Amino acid sequence: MVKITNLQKYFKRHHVLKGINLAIKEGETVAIIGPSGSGKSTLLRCMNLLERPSEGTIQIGDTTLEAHHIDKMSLLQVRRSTGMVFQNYNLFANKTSLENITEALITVKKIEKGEAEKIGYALLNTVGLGDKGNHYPSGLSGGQQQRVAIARALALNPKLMLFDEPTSALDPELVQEVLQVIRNIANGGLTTIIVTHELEFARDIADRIIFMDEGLIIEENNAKDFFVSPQHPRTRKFIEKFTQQSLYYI
Amino acid sequence: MTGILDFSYMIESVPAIAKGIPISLSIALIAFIFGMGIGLAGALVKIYNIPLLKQIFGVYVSFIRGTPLLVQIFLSYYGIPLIIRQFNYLYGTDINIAFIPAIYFIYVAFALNAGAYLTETIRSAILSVEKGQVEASYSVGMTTFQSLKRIILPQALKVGLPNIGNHFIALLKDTSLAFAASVPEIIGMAKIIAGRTSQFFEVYIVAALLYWIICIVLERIMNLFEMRLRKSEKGVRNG
Ligand SMILES: Nc1ncnc2c1ncn2[C@@H]1O[C@H](COP(=O)(O)OP(=O)(O)OP(=O)(O)O)[C@@H](O)[C@H]1O
Ligand SMILES: [Mg+2]
Repeated sequence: MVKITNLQKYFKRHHVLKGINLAIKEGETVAIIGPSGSGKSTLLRCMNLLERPSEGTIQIGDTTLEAHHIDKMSLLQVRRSTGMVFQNYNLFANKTSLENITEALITVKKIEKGEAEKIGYALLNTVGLGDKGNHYPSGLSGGQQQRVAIARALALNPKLMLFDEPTSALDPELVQEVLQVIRNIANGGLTTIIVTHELEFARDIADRIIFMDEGLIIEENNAKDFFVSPQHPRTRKFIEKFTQQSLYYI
Repeated sequence: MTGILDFSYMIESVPAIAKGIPISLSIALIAFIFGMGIGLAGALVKIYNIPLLKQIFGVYVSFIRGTPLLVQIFLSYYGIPLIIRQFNYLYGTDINIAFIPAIYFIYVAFALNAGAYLTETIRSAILSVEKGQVEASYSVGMTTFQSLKRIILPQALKVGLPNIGNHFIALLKDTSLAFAASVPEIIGMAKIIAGRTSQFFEVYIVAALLYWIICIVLERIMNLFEMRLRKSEKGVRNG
């Protein structure tokens, strides 16, 4: 489903991704964790070309992108077959929740408006917001906004869902409602990559955990073994730090 | 005659001076429409960093902002005929300069002037739209143009409307400089009338009042627009 080979990214002279190799099977759920600045977001953003890879190849479904020759058609094709959910929701402020979802159906897929709205309402229902179609983002809570954003990302029927810290901007009491929606998507069989600091959630839903540091994948393993027996010292340190933090909370 | 003002003369002169209103409005409106086009183009050229065009627009905006409008009017009024003459000479065309009304040169000068100022206003309005929303529009496969049309510009317009409205009002007041090219707008008419009776003070007071009234009406219209826009996109949409 996804195959990334020697992916590198420079911002000017800042080497942020230093050669990522990653293969993801159809239906797999992969969680990416790692310290701040390790390049997790950049990796995700390269996958749907919000950032241009500097080096390497990315294969998503039937589309293969080679860093130095990315044409506009395959760029749009990749974006249309991947859904992206951002930390800050990024809903279109000038559109209602329903319109946020139907926007791409109408402008990109050229689906007729009535049909698009049917799909839109169905998606709103799956994220539990069937009654909020007429609300503008400014009239929704953070959790609701993020759920609309997820519905928007699902609208084009993507083959791959990318979540970049989808709950980091939320008040603690709103985190669960969003995680539940993501859990449903991942369990539903859609190939999912999620960058998250919710380690417990990652362990719960992911088939595989990937630990990144300083632009490289340091360690990857299935979700159970990853936390029980981390191999690399940096991984251990990172997990310890997190479990300690949560001990404080208890 | 007693007092410093001849009121009945003022009232009498109103219709004659008011004949300049449509011309003043037409200058402002035409300059504004073309200025918006130039301003949008300039803003996009700057934001999307289009080489060469970016430098050209940079020099243009800097020149317009660094020179008085009156000088720009003169340059247009005396310069365009020379350019047309050269054009006739080079391409064997036969455009008769004498038949081009002076107001066309005024349109050009004012449109270029408005375009330069609107470039900056529109640019900052576009930049005020959250980058995240633009990325979100790309992430669902929208093209740059679709994103601009459906997401960025509608929001930029809302943010920019008060400033754009102020530009229009400023533009309308600036049309008083068009008399310099003997265009019979409000001030042009006032000068003609006052020249006959030498009652300059009265005539210019009438002109001032006319400008004032027009500006108040325009401000009202702008406020209505803004309120309309602000009412939408808050909370829930009715119906
Ligand atoms: N557009 C950009 N221009 C320049 N540098 C950037 C840009 N985006 C990211 N970086 C740099 O790249 C590095 C990796 O950033 P990235 O956002 O991918 O990290 P991250 O792992 O997602 O961190 P976090 O957990 O804080 O979100 C950082 O040093 C960051 O400053
Ligand atoms: Mg990040």
